[in-house]
Amino acid sequence: MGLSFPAFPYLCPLFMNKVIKRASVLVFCVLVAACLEQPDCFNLINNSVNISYRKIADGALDTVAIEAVSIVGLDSVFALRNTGALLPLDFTKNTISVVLDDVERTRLLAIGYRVQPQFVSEECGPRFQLSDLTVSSPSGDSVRVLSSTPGGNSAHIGVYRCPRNNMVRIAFKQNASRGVIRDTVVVKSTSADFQAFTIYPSAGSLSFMNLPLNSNASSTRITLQFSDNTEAKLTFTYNLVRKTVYQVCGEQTFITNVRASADVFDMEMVESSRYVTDSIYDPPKINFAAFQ
Amino acid sequence: MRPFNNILLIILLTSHFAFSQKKDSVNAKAFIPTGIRLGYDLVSPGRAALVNTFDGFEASVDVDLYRYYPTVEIGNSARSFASVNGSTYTNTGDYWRAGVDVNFMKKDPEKNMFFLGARYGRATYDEEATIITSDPVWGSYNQTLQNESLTARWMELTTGMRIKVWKIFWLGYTARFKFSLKLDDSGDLLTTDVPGYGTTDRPTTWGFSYYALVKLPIRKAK
Repeated sequence: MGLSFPAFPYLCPLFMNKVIKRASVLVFCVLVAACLEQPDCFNLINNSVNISYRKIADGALDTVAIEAVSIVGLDSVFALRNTGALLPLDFTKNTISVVLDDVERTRLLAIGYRVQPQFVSEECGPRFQLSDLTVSSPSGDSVRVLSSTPGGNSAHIGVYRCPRNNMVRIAFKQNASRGVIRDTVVVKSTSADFQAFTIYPSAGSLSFMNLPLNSNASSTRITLQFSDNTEAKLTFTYNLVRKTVYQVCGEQTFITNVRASADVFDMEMVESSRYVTDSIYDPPKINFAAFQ
Repeated sequence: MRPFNNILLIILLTSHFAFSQKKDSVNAKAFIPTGIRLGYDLVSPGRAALVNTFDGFEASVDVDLYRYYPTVEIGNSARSFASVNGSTYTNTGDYWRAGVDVNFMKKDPEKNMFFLGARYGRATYDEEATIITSDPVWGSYNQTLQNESLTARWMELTTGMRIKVWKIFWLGYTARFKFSLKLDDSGDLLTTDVPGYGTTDRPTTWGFSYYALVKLPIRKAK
């Protein structure tokens, strides 16, 4: 009598053959599967954190001119996008401090997290699992954890900015035989009668522009210089209203009842049933059509 | 999908036996055990002799209630790993599994078994790791971390055979598909290996036990 899977004289031989054959296949499959189950030596640290700028009104991604991103105590350059930054977390500690410099202001973030090492295998060595992200802003910005587990492509931390209530949008139009059609201009430079940033593409033509209005005055003059060295002077007049819409933003100045005139363009307020066209929105909506 | 493919494989291999036997009536006496069967896993000492990262044992006990075999398995396991970069990991702990096997060779006069079953497993263990690594941005990391009295639980689907070799001596194997592992990950160190379950890097795993068994008779089987 053998010590493995002996034949049994009291069982139907055909039946036992099937049993032994199928059992052998099963055992073989189990052993092969066991041999194949070796750990993989990749993704050993999930320490990337994606910080994104967002609008406080709707949580949508915001486009921001980022000048620099740095981690306190570290002299490295990190991947920047115009909607945020991708940073590595220090897996030897539980916190890092991040400085975000954009054209509007400098924001400070204190990011906390949990680090749990794990021995993976003799070949791979250890890995580090980061989790339980927390974030606060010593600079008083509105920040929130969107996904508490670092790594991957998801957005982990949102930096919410208060509404910009002073950007008027004009669309360039022209009259044609088939009606009003889109027009384009190539802007060389802009200037305003107060200190303001106007962000527009440095190359190519524009069919619309967002222009800043002075929230400390009831009128703003803006000069557009085009690529053919001609100029257009635009004047906006409006009313200012102070109110608190978002608690974290405090009392803000809102602009209503905007009127526009220009020396080169014929400025017409657009008609819309979806929004009040003489008020300012964030993100901006078209307030005026500028006809050449 | 892989776990479900594995389950399907087990079901297909055993379904033939499940449905190929005629239904018959069972009297109440069939549910009185004919004996208590004690088993000792031969894989564990073999593995300990061949692999220097493992030490442990496993034993089992079951009784026959007609074609149903309530089973308890207990064991002890210790693992010790060292990586090429100097990191080390050790654990030691006890485990038990409880469940039922269903014999599909119910007409066999010797009560030989080809079975399908299920288990609930639970382990209590201690572990320690020295984690060493270096990173071009964040520098070096060298820490020794410990977790004590951790518990883990899991489920198993089992299949296997039990064959009477001579008088009270039996041999048999159990193949296990282990899944639904629940770990206590509140410690500073994440678990690498759970005694009785295996490595934790994947959501499912396989196991194999080959038992030498002794059946202590209670009554004579018909």
